Amino acid sequence: MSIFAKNYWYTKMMELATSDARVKTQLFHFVDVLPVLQTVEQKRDHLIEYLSAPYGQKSWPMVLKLISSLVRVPLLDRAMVGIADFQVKQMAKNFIVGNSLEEALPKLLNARSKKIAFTLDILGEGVFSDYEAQFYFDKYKTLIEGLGEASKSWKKISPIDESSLGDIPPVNISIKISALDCRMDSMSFEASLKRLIARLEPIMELAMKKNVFINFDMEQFALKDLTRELFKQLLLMPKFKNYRFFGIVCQAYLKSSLSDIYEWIEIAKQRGTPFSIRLVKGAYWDYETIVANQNGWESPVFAKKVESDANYEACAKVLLDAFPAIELALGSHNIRSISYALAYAEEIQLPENSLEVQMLYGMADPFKESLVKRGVRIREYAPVGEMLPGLSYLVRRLLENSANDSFLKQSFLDNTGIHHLLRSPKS
Amino acid sequence: MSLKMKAKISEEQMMMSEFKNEPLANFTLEVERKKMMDALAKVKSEFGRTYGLHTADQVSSASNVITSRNPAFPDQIIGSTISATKEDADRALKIVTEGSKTWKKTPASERISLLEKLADWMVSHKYELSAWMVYEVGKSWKEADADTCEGIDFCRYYAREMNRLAEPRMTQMVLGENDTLAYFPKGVSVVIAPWNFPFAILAGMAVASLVTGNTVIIKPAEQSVVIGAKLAQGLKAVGFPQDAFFFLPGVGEEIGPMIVNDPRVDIIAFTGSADVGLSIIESAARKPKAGQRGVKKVIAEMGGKNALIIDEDADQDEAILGATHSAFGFQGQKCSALSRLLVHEKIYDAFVKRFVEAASGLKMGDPANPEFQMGPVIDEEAQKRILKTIQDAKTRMKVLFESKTPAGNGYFVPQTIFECTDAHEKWFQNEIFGPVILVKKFSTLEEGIELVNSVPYALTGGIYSRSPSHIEKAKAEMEVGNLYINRAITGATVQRHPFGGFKLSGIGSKAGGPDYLLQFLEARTVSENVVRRGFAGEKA
Repeated sequence: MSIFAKNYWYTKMMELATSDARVKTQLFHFVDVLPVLQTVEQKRDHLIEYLSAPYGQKSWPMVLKLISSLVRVPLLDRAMVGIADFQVKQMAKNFIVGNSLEEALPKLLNARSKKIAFTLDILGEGVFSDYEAQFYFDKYKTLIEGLGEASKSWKKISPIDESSLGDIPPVNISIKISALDCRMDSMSFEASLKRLIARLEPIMELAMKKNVFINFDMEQFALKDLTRELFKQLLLMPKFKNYRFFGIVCQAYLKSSLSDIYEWIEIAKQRGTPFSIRLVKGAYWDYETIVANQNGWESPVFAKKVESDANYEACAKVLLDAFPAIELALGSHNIRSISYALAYAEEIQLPENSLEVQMLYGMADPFKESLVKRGVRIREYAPVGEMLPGLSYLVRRLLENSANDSFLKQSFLDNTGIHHLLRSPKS
Repeated sequence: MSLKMKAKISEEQMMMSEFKNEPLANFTLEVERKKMMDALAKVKSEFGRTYGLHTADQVSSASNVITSRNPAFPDQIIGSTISATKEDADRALKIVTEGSKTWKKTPASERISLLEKLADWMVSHKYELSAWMVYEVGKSWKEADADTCEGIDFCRYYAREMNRLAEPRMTQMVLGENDTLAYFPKGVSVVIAPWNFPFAILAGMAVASLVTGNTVIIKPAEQSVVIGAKLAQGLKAVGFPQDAFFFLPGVGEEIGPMIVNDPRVDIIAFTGSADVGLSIIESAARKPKAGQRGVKKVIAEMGGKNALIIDEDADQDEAILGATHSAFGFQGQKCSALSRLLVHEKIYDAFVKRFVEAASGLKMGDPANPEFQMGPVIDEEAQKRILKTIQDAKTRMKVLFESKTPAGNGYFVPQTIFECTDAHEKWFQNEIFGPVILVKKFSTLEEGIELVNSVPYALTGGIYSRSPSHIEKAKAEMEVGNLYINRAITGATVQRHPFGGFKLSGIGSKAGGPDYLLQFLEARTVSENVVRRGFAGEKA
């Protein structure tokens, strides 16, 4: 593959990152800083500093040594910087659908024509000021208004615009709650809850009016209980009680997820109208482990990936048993996990199209195509926004894909055997 | 955390488990929030008591007292202690001087064991101790909890440090002569503590002194006598001999000079302002009077004018979080607090705009309510002084932000952000000790580092940068005792971040570090010739 090809460097980087922890740190830190650098000189200096073999390091990838030497050559530095810039932008483009709705919409519609639905995410989280929180609030409202209106003229596509319980909205939006309140803090539980309810009510009212699905994303563990209580209180409000198209996320890497799910099932029964749960593994594993360690707390996440995988399957089973009180969306790139859930749904004779599979934009495309061919409802998580606010999201993707036990890495990079890939996590 | 007493290496040294920091409370969990709320309620029901001297037993109300009030609601009395007179101070010194004779002979293992018991006592009273501080000095839940945990950490850490130092160590292996270096207590110490870490620093200095075999007079700051009383109650409760310590709350001007100058005192451990610290050092340097054992040892931690460098390629989101936390945590009343924000000219406008926005996002109010990130300053004097400073600063510098303050008669001071263009500006050089911060532009890293080093203090400092070479340069050239890279510059944790500075920030003492206890000890070398008639026998 040519070094100028779109995915060459990304693939190369993943290879390098997974082979050596030191290389991984340097590469990811470089990706993290490159977007803020303004001048060629700065970019060149950082390239040299990050990609050169650290002092005293015995072995260092040849390709990185090559790049960091080439960039020192006066006539080549501009070209090398240009390539690095381009490659990092391409990497971001790989995971981000577009800078703006205008840029993203054609791609989303194109995916729909291929029977891949979307859930849109506005890149940006953890705001600092009321000003920024207002900015995101307005953005979400504009999005719901605009897309909701536009979707009226869209043709209904099967199976993505319906579930076994009836039609579902073509417009699906995922919300990062931390973008809506700069003082969101579980310590100040009641006050945070009050402010967030005031923020979410108008959003959810508008969504109902425009026939839009709203999903509450789940972020770091410190915010989990607050996010859950928020969703619960909103869902049980009389004006929201009968709307089916609200959803929340459960992260299977959390030790508490199964008990949380049993609570959700009770709430769903109490409410009387179904809502959705997107079951994911969880994207903040490194962060949660570090925070717990520094504070001397028990880690809220399973230490081993197989434990999360086993828990994922256990959670999926419980959620499928709870149908139709809860509609399950499987957020996963792990074929074993997905197959398990699909097989179990079949075993308990759930009506067809009772669940959907969700995958991230830019990842596992061959899997998506296979699932479409099998008639499974599939939805892409589609982030929209600039690279800078999206950098956390991007780095989480890089971390995920370079983890040695990542399913995708094992499938595509390592060519691991099928029996190994499909092994039960409980074994 | 219990001691494994089974395998004693020697009479002095024991097997101890590895040091672990006390985990901070996790207030995102409902169960811990409830514990804090319950503690706040319990403590509130104990307001208004009076505590005596020495072991801080509760006494019936007295006339000559120091009364502690809630700085958020000054009409609310937290409690009082007797205000010690010179006679009381003299009596205290008599007691601990006499007590020193037995305490210095108490085996290290016993002293260590008491310290571990004290740590356990603190853990079992954790939320209450924090609650006292929330009310008495206006700390938020998290700040108070960190203070309590630090106190617990000092106990456990210094216990293990003493254990390490208790065993005489062989200096060199030679035939015919046994050469050892061993550490001995000095004798009598005075601990003069600040109000801003009224539990941790008071406990840290006191237990360091006690575990090394010195007796201690514990003088808390006037604004935090009640939490000081709690510490003394803990010492009594776990069984420290009552002639090994004496709780002596009093007015600084009245009893301070007396106890500092008394010939019976061997060590003065002080944390506070540079002015008072330097005067203590000065008086201790005078020729020892009659009855004085030797030259007084002074340990002094005195304050800072700490700066953060925000480099051109800094992660601005992280930097803003770190800077606001470092500047406004506990209303900037930490010797480690950020008071000078140095921002690279290329990112200055955008960064400062967002920094101001983030600062304005913090809310000020009753610290007992977790909704508020900031509370009042310690007392009326501090409030007046800081307001005066702000007025003065306004005559020379542009105000980038000034927050509102809550209504009521609490000692609140607005968050204030100034733009500084002249490094010689008075408030660029002098400590303010409030929620006031100066922002200054710089163009090269050299200039930034020079600005950091241009003040008389050298306590904490930091840099946010993603350029490895800039980080290395900062490590080599920033003259601060605690340098933080890509994180906040407050929140030093025992053992992990040995804490202390130099220049005007302090002499020696890196608290929570492996050298701290040495300041309370005298080293003695013993050389024993074991050759008799040409025969020495086996080396033990």
